[in-house]
Amino acid sequence: MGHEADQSPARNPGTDQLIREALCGLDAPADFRDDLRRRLVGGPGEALGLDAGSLRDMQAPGLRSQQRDAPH
Amino acid sequence: MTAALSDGELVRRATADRAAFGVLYERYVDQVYSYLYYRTASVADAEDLTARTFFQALNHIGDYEERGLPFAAWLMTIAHNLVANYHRDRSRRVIAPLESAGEPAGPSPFAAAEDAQAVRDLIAELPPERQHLILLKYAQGMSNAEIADMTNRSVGAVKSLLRRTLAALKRDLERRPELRG
Repeated sequence: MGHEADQSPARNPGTDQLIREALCGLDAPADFRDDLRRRLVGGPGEALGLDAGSLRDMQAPGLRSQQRDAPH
Repeated sequence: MTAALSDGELVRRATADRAAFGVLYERYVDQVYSYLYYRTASVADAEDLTARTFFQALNHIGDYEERGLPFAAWLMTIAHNLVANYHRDRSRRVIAPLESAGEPAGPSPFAAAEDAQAVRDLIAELPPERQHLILLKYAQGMSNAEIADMTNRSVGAVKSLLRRTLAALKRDLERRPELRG
């Protein structure tokens, strides 16, 4: 998603950072995500010819990396 | 390779190719789940609503048109509508769940978990509209423009509401000396 300059309001940099830290780093439980993927598209990577590690690497810039890297 | 394709291209392929949808799922399942967890404070409900979000997206993938609204924002709109129905059905205040939200299961992702919980408690005290805004902005990493598209507001209106919300949060944080804010 977007990473424009408006990503972080400059008027409250401390508040901004605290909120980012409070709301980051939550991933779906692995067993849940694997089960749901099977229900949606079949086994992990079976149609893609990929292993689970490759599938995880496909994730969009994650919550943690977005929040860690966003400008303040 | 499918994994390297843009969201738009994957959406186009996903109408006929489940594997393409699988890539979109992998890209966004954590973002959808975290949003729903913070809105429900329940792992079970977050999982149920995450599943519903993706099944609804899969069933309506042909309806998505890439005109200004990114796929991720479209997905979050589905999640938002589902969680709104969830709260309406349960006659809960939308802001209530976060107040009781503890740490997610497993190792704490936070360097200062108590601080993080205190901040979440403050966010939970916000009106639902502002809570939604903060989650889109900080939990989902959406830009003001994306939030504006998703919520049918102007970018200026989003910025203004965000500024007021952050100012209010800052005031609340300053009343808590244990926090850095």
